[in-house]
Amino acid sequence: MSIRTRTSSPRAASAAAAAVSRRAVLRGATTTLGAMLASRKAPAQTAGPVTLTLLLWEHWKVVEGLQKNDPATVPRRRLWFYEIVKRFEGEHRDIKLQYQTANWNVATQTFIAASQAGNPPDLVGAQSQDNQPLANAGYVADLGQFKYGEWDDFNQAVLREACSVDGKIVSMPVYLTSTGLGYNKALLAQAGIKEPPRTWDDLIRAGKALTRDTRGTGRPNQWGFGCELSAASTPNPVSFTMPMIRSAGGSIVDKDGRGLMDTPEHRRLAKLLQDMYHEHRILAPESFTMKANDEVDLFGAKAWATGIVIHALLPPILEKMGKDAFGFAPYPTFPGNEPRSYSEVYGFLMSSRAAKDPRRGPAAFELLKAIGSVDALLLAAKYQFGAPSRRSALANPIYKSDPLLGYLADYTFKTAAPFPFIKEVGFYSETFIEALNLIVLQRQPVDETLRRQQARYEARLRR
Amino acid sequence: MTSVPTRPAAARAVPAGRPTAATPSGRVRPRLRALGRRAGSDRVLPYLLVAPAVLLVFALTVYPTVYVLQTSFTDRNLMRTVTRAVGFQNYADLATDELALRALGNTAVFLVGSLALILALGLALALALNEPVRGRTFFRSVVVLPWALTAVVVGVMWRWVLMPDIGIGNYLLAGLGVNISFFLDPRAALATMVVVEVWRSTGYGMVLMLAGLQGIDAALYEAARIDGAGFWRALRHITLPLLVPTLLVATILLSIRAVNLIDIPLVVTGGGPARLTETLGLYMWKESFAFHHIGYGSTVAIVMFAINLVLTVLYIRSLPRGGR
Repeated sequence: MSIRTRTSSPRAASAAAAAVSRRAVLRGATTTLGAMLASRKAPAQTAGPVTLTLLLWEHWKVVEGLQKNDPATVPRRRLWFYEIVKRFEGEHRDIKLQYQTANWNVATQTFIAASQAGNPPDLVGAQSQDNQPLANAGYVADLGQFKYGEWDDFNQAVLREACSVDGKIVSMPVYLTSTGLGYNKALLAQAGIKEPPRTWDDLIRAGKALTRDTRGTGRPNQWGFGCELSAASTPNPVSFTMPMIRSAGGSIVDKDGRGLMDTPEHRRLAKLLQDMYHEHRILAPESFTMKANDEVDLFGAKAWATGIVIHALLPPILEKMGKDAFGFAPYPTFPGNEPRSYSEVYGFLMSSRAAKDPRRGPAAFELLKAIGSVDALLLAAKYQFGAPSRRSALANPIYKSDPLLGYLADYTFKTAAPFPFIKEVGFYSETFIEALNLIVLQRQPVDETLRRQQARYEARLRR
Repeated sequence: MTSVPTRPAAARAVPAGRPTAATPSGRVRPRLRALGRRAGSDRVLPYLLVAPAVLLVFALTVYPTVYVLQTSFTDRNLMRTVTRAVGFQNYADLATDELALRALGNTAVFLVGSLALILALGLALALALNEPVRGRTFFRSVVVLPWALTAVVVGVMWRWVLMPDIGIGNYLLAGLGVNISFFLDPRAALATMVVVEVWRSTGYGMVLMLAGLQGIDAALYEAARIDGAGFWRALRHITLPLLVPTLLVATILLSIRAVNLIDIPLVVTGGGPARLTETLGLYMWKESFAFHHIGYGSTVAIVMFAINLVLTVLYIRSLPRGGR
């Protein structure tokens, strides 16, 4: 390209040409760079399909089936999700879905890391205790910004306590599950126990009859009672003992979100567990070494005759033991107290980034509506014993088709409460579980240990 | 003293009919400039060849290390949007953190226990399988097999074997009248973690030492035998001294793994009971990813890095000067 310039001599002309040429190149490069940056800030609004990315828990094992349209590879209890997503894809041809997976206990961290890197998945599944910190850090969107007329149909306590932060709904709840006392019907019958224990005193009596050394090794291998109390299954020991605290009138958190463990109810709980382990010898040692969901194998191997279990695990337990071999009773109480439960509220959240996108935001909300629909709840009831999170679903005949399902739906609605928001919840859980382990396994004094651990937790809050 | 040609004569010879490097007037011809350029490129080429590797090391090692160091001076928390510089506060907190000090003690126990056992067993197995015994290849493969398994798989397997009520290991031991609470007593749990690591890594130690043994000249053993030296004297005066560089490499690699260890404690005990079996690696992981305190977790990571650095320098300096 020749550049004409006014020059007084050929040499000057050459120099000027070179200078102008450099200027032109610089100007062109600047223009191009500016255009590139501008195009990054305001993506072109092109027509065509929208692609959404979902971050799912790995142990659901649904992604392969969803990608290959093959329900045979999906565990039966996850088919509700498979069927809802496939139905959604059929009804929304312009929305394409991509999947990422993460282990259940690092899924939130994976989402946070992706958010910090500026590329979060559009939707993420999470347990309710993660909602508040995710919302406070600005990683997830207020779902109230999308037009939806069905929020009133949801269980308002669940929506308020588990799915909202500062009055803003951030999570679309799916089905609910609750904790109760699982028991092996045959072992109870063998021990001459006609009804599952309702109080802790009943349980201790039954536990003594149920704890046995069936192998003749001098060490029991069938235990009267088990409960997740292991560091390896954090934070489940907190949620699985929470109903005991609540039914005795206590709480695991104060009004400011400060976790509690040095309360009269916590002392009573710790003393009860210590006695069950040392005095009555009915508490299974496996309780302190197990990982989350090991209940399936422990009940299956008859190592536990009774134990605290979340009813989300009923499908695999019944599959292993047979439908008539396993029962589910309310969480035991102290005499005169009403049973309480912990309800696992699982929901889907939308990333702030997706919500800001004029096309992906509404598309992601369409998917959330499908996941939170009554149809999804009915499928979850069919495949997962899922209890409904919506009033209109509770009236559906499906919950009367199976006595266990009906009982679970009713029990969950009446007794369950989600995990509350607790400041520094990870550290609180570890510190409380450490206290229980020290009190039970090392027989440390109850009052002093709980006081020390509470102080340690509060020191962390101050730091 | 005769001069030694640096290049073969054939390479230095100028082919017939081709122009020479300089004209009689001494002016450099274009071909010579090309040769000069080539010589220049010979100087540049090695740098160009190593550049990708150096860039990768910078991108994947140096930059993250500097970033972690920088983060360790902040209160960065994944669940907060504001990060402040806190100077050496994290380091001061760590120095008085009872849990961190306990994790450091557990790491030291794990390091010494696993290192001593892996080196001793690895050397014994290497000596045995260096002999021309029948089925040598098969046995070498069997010993190395656990190393080929992922640590998480190994951890899960051992956890199931040793579970108090339904573990097959406990069942067999109970049949012999032995009742051990592998994961309920913190000392037994820590010892179990050492055993699991030894089971997994002994094959790796053996492979390293086998390579070292095969580098020792067989004539030395032959001479020693003629001089009347038996197995133990040959081991003491030939094998071990000549194996020192290999032992050093094995020690450094195994030490770094022991200090950084996360997978085995995470899977086998989860740090329990009562956080009494946490190692520094697991402690760092919990602080960073379970409690979201990336700043504090980075401080623990920097301390682990420093421990590795100091140990490596100590190992190298402990060698006799000739062995370095």
